[in-house]
Amino acid sequence: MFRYNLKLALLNLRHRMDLTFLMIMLIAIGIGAMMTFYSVIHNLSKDPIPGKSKHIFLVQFERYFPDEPPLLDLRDFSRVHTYQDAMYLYSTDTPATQHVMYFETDLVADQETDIAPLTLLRGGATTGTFFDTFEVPFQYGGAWDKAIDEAGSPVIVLSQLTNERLFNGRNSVGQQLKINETYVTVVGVLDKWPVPLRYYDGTMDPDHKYKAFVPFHLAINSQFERDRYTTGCNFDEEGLLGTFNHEYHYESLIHSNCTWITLWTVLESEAQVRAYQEFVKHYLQEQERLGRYLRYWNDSVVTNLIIFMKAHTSIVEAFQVFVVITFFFFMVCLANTISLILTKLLRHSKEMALRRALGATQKMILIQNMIETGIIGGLGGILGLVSTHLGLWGMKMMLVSNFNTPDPLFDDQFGYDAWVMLLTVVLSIIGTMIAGAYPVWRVCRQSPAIELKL
Amino acid sequence: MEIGPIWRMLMKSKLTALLIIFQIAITLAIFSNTLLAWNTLQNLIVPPEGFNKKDLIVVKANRYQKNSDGAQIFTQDLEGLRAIPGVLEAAPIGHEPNGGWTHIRTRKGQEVKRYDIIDFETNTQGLSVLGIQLVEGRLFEEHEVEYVRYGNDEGKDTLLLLSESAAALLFPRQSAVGQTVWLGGNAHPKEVIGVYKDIFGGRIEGQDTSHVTMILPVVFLERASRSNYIIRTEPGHAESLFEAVRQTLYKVKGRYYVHINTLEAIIEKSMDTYYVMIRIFGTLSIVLFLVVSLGIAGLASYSVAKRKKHIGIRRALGATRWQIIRFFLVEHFLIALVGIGFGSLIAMGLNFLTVSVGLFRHYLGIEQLLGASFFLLLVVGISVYFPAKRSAAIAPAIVTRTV
Repeated sequence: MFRYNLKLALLNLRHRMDLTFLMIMLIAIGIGAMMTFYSVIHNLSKDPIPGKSKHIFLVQFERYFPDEPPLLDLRDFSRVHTYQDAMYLYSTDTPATQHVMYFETDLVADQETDIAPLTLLRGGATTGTFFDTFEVPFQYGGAWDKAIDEAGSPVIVLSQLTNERLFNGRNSVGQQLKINETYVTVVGVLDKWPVPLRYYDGTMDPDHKYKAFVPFHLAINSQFERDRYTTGCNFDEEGLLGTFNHEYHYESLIHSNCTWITLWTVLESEAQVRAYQEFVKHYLQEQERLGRYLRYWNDSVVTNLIIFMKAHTSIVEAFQVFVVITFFFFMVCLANTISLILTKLLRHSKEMALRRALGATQKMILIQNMIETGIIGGLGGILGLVSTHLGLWGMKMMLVSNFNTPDPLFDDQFGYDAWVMLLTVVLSIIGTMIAGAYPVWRVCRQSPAIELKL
Repeated sequence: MEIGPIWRMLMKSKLTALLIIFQIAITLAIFSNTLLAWNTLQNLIVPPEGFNKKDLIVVKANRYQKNSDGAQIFTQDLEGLRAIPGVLEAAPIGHEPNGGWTHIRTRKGQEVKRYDIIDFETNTQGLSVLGIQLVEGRLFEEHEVEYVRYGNDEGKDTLLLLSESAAALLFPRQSAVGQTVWLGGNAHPKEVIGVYKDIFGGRIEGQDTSHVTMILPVVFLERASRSNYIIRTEPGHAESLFEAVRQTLYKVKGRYYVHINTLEAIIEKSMDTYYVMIRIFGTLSIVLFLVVSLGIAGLASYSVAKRKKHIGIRRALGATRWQIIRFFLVEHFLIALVGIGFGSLIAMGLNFLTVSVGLFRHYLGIEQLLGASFFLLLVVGISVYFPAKRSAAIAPAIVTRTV
């Protein structure tokens, strides 16, 4: 029975190829638009380190002016620390398993040939613990060790794209590279590392691909230009803000109360979290007694990575609006599919009436028509895979041309994974079948006698 | 005008009517928001009257070798730039346009309200490159410009210029000339010596383009990220000079030049979110119009096909062809109007949604709704016209075919 219905369905579809084709195109366009934006949201919301992310915390103790009301929104809390605070927590024995310090610098790679120009790299000045904590994959070599950290030895880790640009992608471990005025040795090259949004420096901006990582103290000692704005110098030092932004003179910055270092910590159990919170609060109270702060701090002191990412996803919210818009767009396409189905049924009404007269039940006619709509939905969904891919590619190209960036930069945000593909086809089929249900049902209810008249 | 029969006929085929209403509503919603984005962008791109943004090149250069002699590089650069044929004047600038902002207060003290303001640091040649026009007070002179080697920017310079918008913001009820301002916590006070006509400012985070700017008579000789240059070129020649500028500046070791652009390009780049949004909305709108117009044409055809007998009877009873066509046109316009009504509500809802998320910063106005509605009715009219014409071709003899 099913095979008979299937045969009929296919026959009907072939009968009016143009209508069928139109319907499939409509569905493909509609679902393509919606899934393009859904895909982006899906990519941006992925857990970057599944399994380990629940143990990674951003240290955030907010300080604010004494007369201001306490900050309640997580999004307003400061994400950076002063040199003194960060170094203390990093070097002292705390209940935490590990700490990572991070700040962004601009590095100019000078390959000292006449052919190769200077290359501007986005650098991360960090501690060796960075790579292990964030589970960064290596293609060649590896991270540097604690000894190098403390000495601030001149080493560097390159991202895959940077290595391709500077060394044509070959194993460059051991090679020397001139960064600004310092010669560094390559100790590691990263593998493909999907980072849709840069969580590790607290900005949640799209990542830079021409990246390199250098030891924290190397950047300070060699005076690599610091890339980002400080936040929260206290009032007395506010005038120095201009001096400290985008600069390479670290002396006064290190001794000031301006915040600029991102600090992460690894806490592996509830008890450890609590112990750490106690430890930090004790330290802050002590600092207050020493007259360093006139400020208050938030209670929890640490924010889990996933919670942090969720709190700072304004981009995702924007895309959610687009999903709503394209959902309506998909509805419009389905509405037109309904009208095409109506047209199609109009033509088949005589045939269906004949079948009814020969003994087919309403249910059988219904099933046969629903199979037809299902097939249309399925084909539309498969074509929708192509249109979604096109949509993602189109969006990526638009951003690439706007920002003049290399192509692979946006791969992580605009990738198309298996789950979204499945969803595309399933939603197509469900959508089409719902759209087709009402007209089909109505037609089946009609008395066959009318249609048989002439 | 037979509204009565039209209405009754509509009620009989609710499904088709609803489908058309739905499609028109959604199209109106999306299209009017597209128009809003477009309007906003047009308003934003327009720089203050009289400001020339085309013939101004901005070079962003970073110095990464702090051991080099800043003053010498500076002199060398300017000599080289001025020697390029087609260059009228060159000057240093601290922040490039749309490159950053700072805070300013009208009284000293932590609790005093802090305003965001965009700062430009340059010398007198810079005033001429920017085309500064004085409105009140006086401009600073070359001997008042401070050339700073490394140190904080609380130099000895004690005066600055404000733009008209800045002056209006900080000193709304009085003249700004002669007033004192403070930049940052413990900074020395500075005196406002003049007010100039608004120039392009830049984007301050979280807001649209601001024209609240100030100019400080300072030139940084040794700051990494503030060794930028602005160049006034002969009209129309800006882009052709990029390579020459690049060659001149690139020769100096220890400097990495980040990019070179006309000011016009920088202004456009600062609006890039809007451009992206307009492209997305625009593409959706275009596809929607295509789909909807074909859809309405299809539904109208379906309508015609279903009512062959009805049309035939009316023709047999004496209706003219034009009356038949008019019947369909009016019917569909009624539907379209209902669709526009609902669509306006959805449009406003959509607008609130985008504003709440931060994509848009303005609310939908009557102009966009009217404009979109008008265009939509036009499209509906065209879509319905051809099926309607076919309906008139139905011969009255069809009545005799069946009961």
